[in-house]
Amino acid sequence: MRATDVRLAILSAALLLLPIAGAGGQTVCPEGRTLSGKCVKPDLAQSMRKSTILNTQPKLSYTSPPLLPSEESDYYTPRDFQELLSLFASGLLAPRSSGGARRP
Amino acid sequence: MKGPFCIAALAVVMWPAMAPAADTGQAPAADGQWQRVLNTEVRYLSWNSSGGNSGIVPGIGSGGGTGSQIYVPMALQLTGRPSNDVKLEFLVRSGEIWTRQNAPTGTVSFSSPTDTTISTTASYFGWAGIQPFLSLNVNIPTGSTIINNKSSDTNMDSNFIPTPVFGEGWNLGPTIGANIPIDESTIVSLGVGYTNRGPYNRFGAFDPITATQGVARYDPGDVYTFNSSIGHRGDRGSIQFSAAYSIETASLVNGQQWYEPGGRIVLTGKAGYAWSDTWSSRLIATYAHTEKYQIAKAGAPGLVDERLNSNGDIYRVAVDTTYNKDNFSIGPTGSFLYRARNAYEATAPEFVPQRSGWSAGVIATYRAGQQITFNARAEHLWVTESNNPDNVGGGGVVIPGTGIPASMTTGWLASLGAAANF
Repeated sequence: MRATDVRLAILSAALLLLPIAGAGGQTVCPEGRTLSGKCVKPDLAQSMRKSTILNTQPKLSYTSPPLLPSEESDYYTPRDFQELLSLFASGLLAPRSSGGARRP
Repeated sequence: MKGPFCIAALAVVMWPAMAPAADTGQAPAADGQWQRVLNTEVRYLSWNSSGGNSGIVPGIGSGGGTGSQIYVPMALQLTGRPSNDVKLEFLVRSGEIWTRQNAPTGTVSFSSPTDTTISTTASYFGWAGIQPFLSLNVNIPTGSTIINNKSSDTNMDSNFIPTPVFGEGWNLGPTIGANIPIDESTIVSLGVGYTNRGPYNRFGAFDPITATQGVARYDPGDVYTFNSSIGHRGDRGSIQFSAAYSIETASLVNGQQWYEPGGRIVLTGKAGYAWSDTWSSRLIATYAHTEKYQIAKAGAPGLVDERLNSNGDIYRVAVDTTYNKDNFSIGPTGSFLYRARNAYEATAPEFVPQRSGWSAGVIATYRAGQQITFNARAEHLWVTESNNPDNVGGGGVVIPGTGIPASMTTGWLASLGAAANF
């Protein structure tokens, strides 16, 4: 490939990236930008990110979920009732005789 | 090191390393600056159950009696921007828990630190149209899994008690995801998470020969969860919807497969609206459904599908409305939770009856300057569980004393908390 072709390729790539780079140079956005370069609403972006993290870690910790105590009412995660019976209620270690579950 | 002291020590160590933050509010940190939030609450819960089956141990929602619990979670959060395009968030949380339960089978009390969680999230804002993030979360087993040399005496009803257990093993949970803004007010968020749950010891089956309980090694299944959400925030209101689907590997006891949950879907909707400069409301609705488990069954090799679904769907709605004036806000709050009965016959040992729970109370917040915020909550709770008739054994013979009467449980929940922003 000739040097001219390389420069042409770099210039083309730069032109393709220019709208994004230009948008980024306009201002510093607290939580990022839309494709058109506008700043997203910070509170909404933070809430969406936290919600996704908590939703994808539903059983990380029963006693200390990864959020501030004051935020718990905003991010309710329903408990797995059967798991709590199986792992944390009385010691039911024998396999069940019927097709049933973990209730003593 | 005990959990709460671990947080305090960490705060002392990290404090000097952080550059002073000029902005003490909740706005995102600017380059080179770190925001610190220290948050704690004291939660007190007491309850009184009308009855149940006195022959059944407490902690499974049917033992009756009275009880109380004090739970003190504490967390330190650091948020910083090492550059314009990168945001880092750190959280360490632990706590202390004390509980006392009086039941027909006796009175027990216990206190313990809870487990400690460390969470780190890195977000990248250098691309227009997508903001990826990576989060790593760890549950450190600073709590207790063996209580008073037993395992079950102080276990409490998980449908009623916010913190029904006191500890687990080492759990490691990475999540990768991205916010995808449609416009500045509407964002789609996608993510996938994996939770590797480590083993821990509990007291297991009663040995009739030695008259003791042996220690059993529990190894809970790992969890894979996919989440998609969409949210919109307008001038006066906001709304969000999310759907999360989890699959889980088998849980083991002493190396033997014990059960494997079916797929679980959780749908959540949130809405908030400011009616005026002083009045605003919030609503959160949640629905959860779990498919049939695979279970260990006597005489069958490996796990088999359970005959019917032992999981009842869960519906929950919580609402609050607050009056905001200057640094003070106050208003009513309430919630309703309904658990549908499972798919088994009411006379089967596996039957879990329907249950409904209400709460109503008051929440309040006071902002003391720009750095300290106090919050308080007081609620009354009502929980009703339908009856469970006596079980039917082989040959259709009713087994007396195996049923559970309908029960009514009432209680009070009160909390007082403070958050300091630095």
